[in-house]
Amino acid sequence: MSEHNAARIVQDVAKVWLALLGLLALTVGTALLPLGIWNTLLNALIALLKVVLIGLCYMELLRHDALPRLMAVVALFFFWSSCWGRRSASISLAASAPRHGRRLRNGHHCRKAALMPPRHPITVCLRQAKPYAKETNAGPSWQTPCRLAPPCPRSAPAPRAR
Amino acid sequence: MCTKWPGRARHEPDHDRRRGPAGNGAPGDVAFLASELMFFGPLLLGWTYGRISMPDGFAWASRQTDLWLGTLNTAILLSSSAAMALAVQLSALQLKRQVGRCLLACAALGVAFFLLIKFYEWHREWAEHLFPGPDFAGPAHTGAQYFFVVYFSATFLHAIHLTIGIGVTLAMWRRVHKAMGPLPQPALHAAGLYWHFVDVVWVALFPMLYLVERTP
Repeated sequence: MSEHNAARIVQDVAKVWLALLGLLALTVGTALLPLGIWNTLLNALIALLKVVLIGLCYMELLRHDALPRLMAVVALFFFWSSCWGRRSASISLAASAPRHGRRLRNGHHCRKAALMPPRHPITVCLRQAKPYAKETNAGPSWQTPCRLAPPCPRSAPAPRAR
Repeated sequence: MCTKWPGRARHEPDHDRRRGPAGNGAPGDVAFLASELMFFGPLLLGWTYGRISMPDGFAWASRQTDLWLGTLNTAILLSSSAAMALAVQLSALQLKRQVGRCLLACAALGVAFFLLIKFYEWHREWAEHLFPGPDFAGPAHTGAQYFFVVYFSATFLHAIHLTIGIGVTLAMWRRVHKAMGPLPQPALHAAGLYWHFVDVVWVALFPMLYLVERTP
């Protein structure tokens, strides 16, 4: 009887272990894909899934009384919100950016921000290309200086009627 | 009934499926682990601040970390967590030898993770002058140094927790090995909770330190 139970326990633990390794492979695989902002969201989601799996299956939090369960959930909530909460705030900031680009400090209008996914929501237009961009040789499109972009036709003042 | 220990069934665990093996010690264990999370709180807050205000430097710095070694570390730690879970759940069946083996495997994987891979990774980063300081090889004033301050602090703090976890696991193995009576289930459960906590922290740290803008 105990051998049967032991075999079942081993099987259950092995299933969760394989699921965790699969999620790890998925995280690394998706991190290498050019998904823009979805990379961050997917990483957070998969990490959360892994934590839930460990909490439920390995830590057996569901078998505890209500108090430890509540404490674990509150602790994990604060832990997770400190990890990802402010990040998602920056994501929402980018999502609320105007559709036709942003106005720069020099009065020009950056149209690139409207065309590309908001991977660098704050730095795209307000900051200029960094000197180390040449060193890294990464060459993402956002490094082309937005300030040289022509003004957006919509932002230009309408010609006066004569 | 068990003949060696009267009043206790040898192969029938006193494991209440609803309340768990930890009994009344569980709230204390979980409260301790919740307070342990505070160690990592300031680091995580520092990371989020840097990630938002210095995204270029953070992305550059994260690309300097070794993704494959980090992935291997994570896989090893997840495997050690599975071994620990196996030990805790098998202890309910009083399978002393199997529990001992699982605990040893867990500690061995922890040592492999920490001593071999993590030290090698730190050594490589030191050799490449990625340790924050006057010899830092990365771009200045971009937040790359700041990333590595967070990186080394977080991984070092995690390594300290892992070392404690290895010590606790080995102590539990010794206790199980020498146990004449029933296995110490509440203690095993507490050790397991601690090990899984270390695992959970690494699961959160891994994407933050290794997977920031890895797109080629």
